Amino acid sequence: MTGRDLFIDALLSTLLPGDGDWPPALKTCVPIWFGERALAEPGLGGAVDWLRRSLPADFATRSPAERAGNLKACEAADSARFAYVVSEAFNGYYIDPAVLAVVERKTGFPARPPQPAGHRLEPFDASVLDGRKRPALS
Amino acid sequence: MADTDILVIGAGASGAAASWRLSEAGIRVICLEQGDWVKPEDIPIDRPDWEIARASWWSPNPNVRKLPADYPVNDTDTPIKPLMFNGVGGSTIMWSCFNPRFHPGDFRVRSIDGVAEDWPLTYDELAPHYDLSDRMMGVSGIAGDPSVPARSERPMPPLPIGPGTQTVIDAFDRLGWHWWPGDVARNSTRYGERPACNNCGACEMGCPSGAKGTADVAYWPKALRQGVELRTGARVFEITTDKAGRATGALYYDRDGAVQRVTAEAVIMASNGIGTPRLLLLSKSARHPDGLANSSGLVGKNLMHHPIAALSGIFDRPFDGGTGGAGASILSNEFYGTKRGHDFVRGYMLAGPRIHAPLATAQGVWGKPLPWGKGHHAEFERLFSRAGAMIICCEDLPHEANTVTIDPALKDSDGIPAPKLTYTVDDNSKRMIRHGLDRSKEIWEAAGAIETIERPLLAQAGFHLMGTARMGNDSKNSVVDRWGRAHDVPNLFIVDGSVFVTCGAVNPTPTIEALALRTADHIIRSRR
Repeated sequence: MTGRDLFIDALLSTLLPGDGDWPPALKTCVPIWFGERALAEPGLGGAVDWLRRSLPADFATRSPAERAGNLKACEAADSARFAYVVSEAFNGYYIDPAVLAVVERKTGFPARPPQPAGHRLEPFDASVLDGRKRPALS
Repeated sequence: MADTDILVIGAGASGAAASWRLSEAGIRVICLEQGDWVKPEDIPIDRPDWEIARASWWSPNPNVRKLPADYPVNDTDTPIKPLMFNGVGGSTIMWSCFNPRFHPGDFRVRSIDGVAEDWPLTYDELAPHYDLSDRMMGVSGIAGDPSVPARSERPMPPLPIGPGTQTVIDAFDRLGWHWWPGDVARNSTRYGERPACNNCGACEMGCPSGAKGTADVAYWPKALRQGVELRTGARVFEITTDKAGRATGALYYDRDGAVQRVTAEAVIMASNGIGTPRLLLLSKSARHPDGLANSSGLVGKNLMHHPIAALSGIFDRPFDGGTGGAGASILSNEFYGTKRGHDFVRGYMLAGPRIHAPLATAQGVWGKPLPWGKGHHAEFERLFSRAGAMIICCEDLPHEANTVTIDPALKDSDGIPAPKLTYTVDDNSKRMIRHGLDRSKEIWEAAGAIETIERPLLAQAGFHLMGTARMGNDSKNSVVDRWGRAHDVPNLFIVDGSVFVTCGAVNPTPTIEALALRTADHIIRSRR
């Protein structure tokens, strides 16, 4: 049996905590997504290893505010590598059905990919060009 | 006897158009394409992770995408990264299908402004071929734009205008600035065998329904019915020549890595503004020691992009709801071409508004990466669906220092040396961008935006690859003549964006296609 990686859990819950209707990363597919990506992408795996080495040994048990402060220090030390980690967390978060459902409830943007449904739009109304058209070539 | 009358290298917009036109006249054509057909199910537009695919393995950037058909491009010395697609249909597979034409003055930049060079042809000469290209691709739009020459009615009426675009239109009207519905190669109605667009908004990923005008659906089925032989998985590494220096065909690797040869009476290069100079420079011989057709030394020089900037407008209310097509639904020529009082020559097109999906918003597409941690969701809600982007598409000027060369070390998967780009945005473009950002701010303010965010130069915007084998009457300062025929090699033609003398401030594909069709017509006439 594979146990949860408490360090990764603490990292993700600090990067993407819940907020009102928005689920925390730990309640979405992000942990699985992130874990698989870290194994498949050496760059991400290396960045996570760098964070493990850079952060306090008790990072996972610290308060959210303390963890945020610790991560900000890492971000200041190597913004590009830190941004890569954040980007991958966002990638996992914004493909999660629960997250996209919140997006739809709040904005109307449908929680589905562009195809096959597309979007319904009113046809073009040529009256918006009244008074500004010149004749077309026949 | 040669294997074929005409060998076309590349099955994108220009290669498809030339192949179709030539075969229509009964000319035997073989086309070599290093990629494959894109099947509808190949396009990851119906997957939950479509936004991730678009930014990674289905990116328009070949250095990110890294599909087997792609070749690497050394882009370390350019702020604008090259975008293209290698496959049947070429970069039209991933184009936003905005389809504006050059303006008449774009062909006479030297005469009008004293910079760059004039083209050896006029807009009026090209106009019939623009019309033919429009009919083949299927263009939605409406004639009557007072800022451009009169033209025939578009094959289809304009595409829908969403609420965000209407907001921008109202702002243009308040400022008294020109705007017009864009010509877009996307079907507003059924067009022939192709369905109407369902406004999914992700045109740049490819179109599984065929509603978008791409060369694989607009030209290739007809060309194949006319007898063109299209060989996919065929990666050309040399244009062969005889002792007299005439083109005799090409050598290529097939998909198994075996070297193949095809012979032809004439060769047409249609491999885009990077691929064509790459192949010409690789095709050295005793008669062409600096590369094929390169006695002028200009093969690979004068690389032009369109430097593109964007200004995001943020509203305190829903802007568009995230619906509608990509590309630009309207354009403005208010600042097109040289204007009195500007501190730059030539000008830019304004196009928009662009809208973006959730993940792109989180990743900072509006110009400001979203914060992580507490506050992330509040910032997402502030931006998503409440923002639009005005695109500033600037005319670039040709400079010999902006180049495509052969990288001394980088190679593709077949061991063919890869191209390297060296490019700098010039001061004229920088001033133009500044002007465009300032004017765009006026638009957003007139539209009621509460905040704007500048993106002064989009890096992932190098779709427009032009100028690297330019056209001209003088063989000393151009590579091909007014028909696209190489000055040095009378049976070698170039029909892609390489031949552009200047680049206007509009998307180049309709002009590329029109030039390809015109060159094909010239070849047909020459053979009679």
